[in-house]
Amino acid sequence: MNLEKKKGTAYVPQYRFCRFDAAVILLVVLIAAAAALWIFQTTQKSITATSHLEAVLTVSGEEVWRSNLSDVTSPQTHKVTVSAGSLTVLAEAGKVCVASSDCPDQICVHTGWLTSAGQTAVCLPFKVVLKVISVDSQGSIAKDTSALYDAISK
Amino acid sequence: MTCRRSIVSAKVAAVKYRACVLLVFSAFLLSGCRLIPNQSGSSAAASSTGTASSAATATADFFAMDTYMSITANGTDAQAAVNAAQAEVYTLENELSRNLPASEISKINAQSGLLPVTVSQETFDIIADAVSYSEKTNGAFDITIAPVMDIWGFTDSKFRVPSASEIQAVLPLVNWQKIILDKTKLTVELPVKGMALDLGGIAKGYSSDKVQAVMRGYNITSALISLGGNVAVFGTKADGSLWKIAITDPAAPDSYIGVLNATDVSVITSGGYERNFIQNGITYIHIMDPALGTPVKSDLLSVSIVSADGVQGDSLSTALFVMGKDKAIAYWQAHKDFACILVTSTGEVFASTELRNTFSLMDTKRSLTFFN
Amino acid sequence: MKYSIYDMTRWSILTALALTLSVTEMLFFPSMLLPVPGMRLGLSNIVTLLALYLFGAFPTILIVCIRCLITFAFGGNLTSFLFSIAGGLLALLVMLLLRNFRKFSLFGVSVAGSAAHTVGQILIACLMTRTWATISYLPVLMLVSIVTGLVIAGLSIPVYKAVTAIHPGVEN
Repeated sequence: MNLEKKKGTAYVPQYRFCRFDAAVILLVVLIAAAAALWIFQTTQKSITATSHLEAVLTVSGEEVWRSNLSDVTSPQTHKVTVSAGSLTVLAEAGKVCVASSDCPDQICVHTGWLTSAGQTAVCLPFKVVLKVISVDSQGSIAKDTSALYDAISK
Repeated sequence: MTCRRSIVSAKVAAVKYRACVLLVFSAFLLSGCRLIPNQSGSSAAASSTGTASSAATATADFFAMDTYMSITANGTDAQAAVNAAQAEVYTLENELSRNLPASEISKINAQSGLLPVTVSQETFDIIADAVSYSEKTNGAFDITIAPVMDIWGFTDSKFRVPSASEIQAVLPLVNWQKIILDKTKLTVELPVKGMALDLGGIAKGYSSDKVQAVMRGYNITSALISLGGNVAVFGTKADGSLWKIAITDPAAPDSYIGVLNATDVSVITSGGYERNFIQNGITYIHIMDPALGTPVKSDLLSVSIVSADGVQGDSLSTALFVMGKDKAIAYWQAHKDFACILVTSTGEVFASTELRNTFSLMDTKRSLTFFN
Repeated sequence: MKYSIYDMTRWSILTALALTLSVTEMLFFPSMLLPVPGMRLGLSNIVTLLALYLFGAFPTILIVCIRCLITFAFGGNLTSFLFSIAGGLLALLVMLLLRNFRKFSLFGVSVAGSAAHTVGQILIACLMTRTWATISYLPVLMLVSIVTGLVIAGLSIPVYKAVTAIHPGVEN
């Protein structure tokens, strides 16, 4: 390894893709795979027989995060960053809320805990929606017939 | 093994690099097509679960009019009805929103103190309706409140407490009686410069009426429309039961005070808890007293109007909140063409007598009084 | 000061270029359209890569830090500043190491840099949310960073060639 110490640098970049670069890429892929495996292991849970509550977080309508609230044992947080700032969701056993947000209105934070299917907390400036849905054992969205109400006027 | 640049492979590499660079930049060009201006249109028209042959359900959740909306329909044409409803909301937003510069309302505001502005029949009707409710409520509801909303920072969310002189300066601009409407020419004029209209207090009610009308034209059995908390329902659910609509607890907005069983109604609630800011320990709400130019100091925390007419529900929910409990009950007694639920600052609930059999509290220890 | 005004001016120009590139990339890919937050092309890494080879370690560190500071000063929030500086410095460190081992071409250095940038950001995210669950973004972002790393290198090469052709010896 030749390190010529001059003022400035004598490191001339190589332009041709070679074996070592492939090794770097492979290493990155391996790290990604290892992380994926680790995540899969830590979140793998058996499918419950009855329907459970799930929290779904969407940004501009696209789902970015989901959590099975029945499986949450210790407090779980998720942070979403949009161009205007970020928003953190906190999930605990059976409930979820927007813990903090950079938005000016703070309506999402003031909404408080969501504890039953159909409830939502919305951050308008960030176009983030946190909602709770009821999911049955097949994973499809169950019509929660025991819901106490269909809609809430506010 | 060392990587050396050889002359032959350098030429090949050069071609490859140019190709890559071209590809990347054309990707930039194509990606520019994704820049759609604010029609934040992620209409996640999600589940279409069907059980019986004609029982389909469709839902659309989307952002419009500065709020989150959810539309559900049950029946054969559910998906088509929901799509049409969503399109109708976007159309109305383009006409009515003060924030979209191309909207008719923005044009009217821009011409204040100058010329009358010709508008569509729809916009004219909604302004005319607003004026008639201003008249009925003696100005408790007033769509010319926009300049006051601006100085308090509710328009752009840059909240501030204006000085008394600022308030005095804009107060003369708040006067629904000055709006000039010409029914034959379909024009609206704001004669004094600086006057501005904000249909925020009536737009959602009007929109929900329009959306209902659109949806009723489809072959569906029932629908639930929630435009940012303004709920409208018609038809009965799949099991034949009425819709259950909860009323938010203004003191604890993540919970509710009671449930109303109903159909073919709009339930529209106004309360200070929806939008407010706190400065120096004082809470300033977004509902303004048009006579004073300051947030209204009402003995009510929320007003919910139950009626078949969304415009009525929206405008009266604001007006009755401004009036306070006694005048609100007096107004109801004088008109009786709607039902209402009032929550006072002491946590008591008052409801008009026709809701006796349809409205029930979640917490039976709370005080509920029906008034005649 | 052992660095001349001439050198420092060139570094400033590169810093400005880096800022411009990051703003431009926001125009084409507003972060809300992308499925995963934090997924970005990272065009300003072109500048980091070039500076490493043209000017050396110290100027590049300066450029990265000043770029992050200016973005923060002009309307950024603390969290995004921490994200960008953590990612940027970790990427710089990794790229510096790989650059010194002359066996890696620009592609390898750039991919390693992108990956390190991602790792840095995820680590900060884990620190902020105090949960390891944030690592769930790592696999996708790492794979994306391979692609963006290659793209960045591909874009840097013509620029490097052009600069050294016009100013032979500028790298010394």
